[in-house]
Amino acid sequence: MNKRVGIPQALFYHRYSPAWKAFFTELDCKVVESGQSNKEVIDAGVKLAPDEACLPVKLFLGHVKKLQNQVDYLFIPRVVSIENKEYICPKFMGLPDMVRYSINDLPPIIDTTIDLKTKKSNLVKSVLEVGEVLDKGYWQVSKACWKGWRALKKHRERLREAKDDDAQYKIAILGHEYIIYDSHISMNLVEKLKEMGVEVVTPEMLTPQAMRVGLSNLSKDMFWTLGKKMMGAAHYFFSNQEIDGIIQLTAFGCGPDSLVGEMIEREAKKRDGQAFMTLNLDEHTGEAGLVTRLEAFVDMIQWEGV
Amino acid sequence: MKVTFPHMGTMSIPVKSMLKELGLEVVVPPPITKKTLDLGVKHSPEFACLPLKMNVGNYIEALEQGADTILMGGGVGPCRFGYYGEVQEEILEDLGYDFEMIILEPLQGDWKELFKTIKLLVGNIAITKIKSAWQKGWAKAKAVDQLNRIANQTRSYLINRYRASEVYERGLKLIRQAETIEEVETKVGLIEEEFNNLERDEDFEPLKVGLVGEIYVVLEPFTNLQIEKKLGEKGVLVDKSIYLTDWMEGHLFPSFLKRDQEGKKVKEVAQPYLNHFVGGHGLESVGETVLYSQKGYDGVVQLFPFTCMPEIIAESILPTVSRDLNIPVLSLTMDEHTGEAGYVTRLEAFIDLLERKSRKEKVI
Repeated sequence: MNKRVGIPQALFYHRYSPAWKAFFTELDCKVVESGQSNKEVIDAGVKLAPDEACLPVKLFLGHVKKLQNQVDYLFIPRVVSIENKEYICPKFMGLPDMVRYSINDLPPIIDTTIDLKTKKSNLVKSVLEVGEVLDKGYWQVSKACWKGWRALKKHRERLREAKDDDAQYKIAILGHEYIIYDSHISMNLVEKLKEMGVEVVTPEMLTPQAMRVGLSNLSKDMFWTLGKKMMGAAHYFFSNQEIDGIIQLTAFGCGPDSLVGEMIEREAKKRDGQAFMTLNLDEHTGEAGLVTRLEAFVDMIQWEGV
Repeated sequence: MKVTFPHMGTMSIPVKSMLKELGLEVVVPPPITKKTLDLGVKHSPEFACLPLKMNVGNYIEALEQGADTILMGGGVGPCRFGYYGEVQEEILEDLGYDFEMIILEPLQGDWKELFKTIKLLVGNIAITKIKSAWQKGWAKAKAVDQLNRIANQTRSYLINRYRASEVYERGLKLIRQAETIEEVETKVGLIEEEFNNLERDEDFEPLKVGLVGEIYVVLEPFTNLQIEKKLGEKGVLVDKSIYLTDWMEGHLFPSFLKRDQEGKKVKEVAQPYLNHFVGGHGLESVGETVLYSQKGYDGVVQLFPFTCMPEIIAESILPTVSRDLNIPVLSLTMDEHTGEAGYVTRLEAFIDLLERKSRKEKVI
């Protein structure tokens, strides 16, 4: 029987899921996803996590709990760094340990360290480590890795192609993928905006060139990959006349966001011509309140005629 | 140029004399008060960690007193501290202050960068001058840490426990005023003797509690609401796992100068629970807790600022360590809303728990 590998549908799932799915499928595993977030998942996570943990981590624990009895392995890599000389966030580095000591009776965790801080080729090492756990040979693993990479590339190209020509306004959304694309935490924000006749742009839709343009505006280098990406995207959006407004989504308790978000907000206040709003999301955020704020935001753009 | 820098416990004593020795005019921020905190909270991002807010409060008060250059530490991640300087600069600029911010990035095997920063600060200066400034600062840093250690070791045994803080404060003052390294050493000896002469209850067996956690909160009495004093005066022997000089040795010195055997050991004992460094002092908090249990301590208190990322990881692991090694751990999150009464109640409850546990173990 094929081994069942569980992937919690939170955090980096939203960035790498096509690659992970292709990779494990190629290794003759059955990929089990925990499904979309919902109230029960969040409640379970809140109960398991320390009070001070950020919303995304609480949610992650909820997803793990949901998968607990359905799989043979859990895939929770220790992602230290995905770019040269940069980090993600301390919590990604301790994630497998946090999970292990917060939930009892878990299936074995595949907690391979992914550390590309010094060189990209470290990925090969990590991938082979996963293969070893699953008892797969070198060639099969290499092939799976290649397939995973291809799937990811295709997925990203598809994201960039998404366009809506009928939309009246264009609003950019800044925030982590695991917030924007989690329809429960973000309360379907993207869909809601689309229904209001707005075209939505997310940082993932930017081409590498656009990102470079944005990043060139940064005065100082930043050591968080995600934070840096957000700053770069923000600067690109600021200088892009087509963007009518920017909505920044931050998660309650997110460490890097508390500083990066502040820097972006301060920069936004110095400029005019674009509406800017920050929404801080947590497990208590009410949908009605969010809709009201979105409507007000779109109305504002309409009235200002920007 | 009038240089200032943020407070962190007794750090201002060595840093001030070091900068003075380099020929700079120094404005030490006024001691931290409620007003400092309020200023910091008002102007900082809501979810930033407490040390950032306290720093901003320090800067504002120092800038109001005429400082025009701020000296701050940097970092390369993943803890937020490495980005403090940039954010704080932005905040103060938006407030309309006119100043220069110099951020000391940690040595990444590149001495040139460090010299560039020093040059920016003091212009062309003889290397011997830098060396003597460093030596003097280091002597004072060692001295204040030693006094702190002695005070913590002595306090709980005293007949009149309140005397310990009096002597300690006087000692700090003497070291602050000391002009030469020799004078620092004599003063330390003097205070040490004074501590030894205090009347003590030799038969008393205090409970022993170790402090672990995020460095700023552990070292700054204002933010930890004087936990050492509070516990000590209740008859608990307190040991801090982090001192400024230890931290500097571990993080600022190039590796060939390190005598850091302790650091390796911490990593080793933490390994079964946390197998990777997580920035800040997360790994150390886990490792030191294991070490305290090995040294026979009765309990451990973990202190950290609200939303501190590395310590949250440690916090989620410590309950398992506590269960495995049978050592109670109290995790306390500090922020601007921490109320003293609630804090004291929790500490008292923790001490009661330790007392009952140790009594029970003795009977068995």
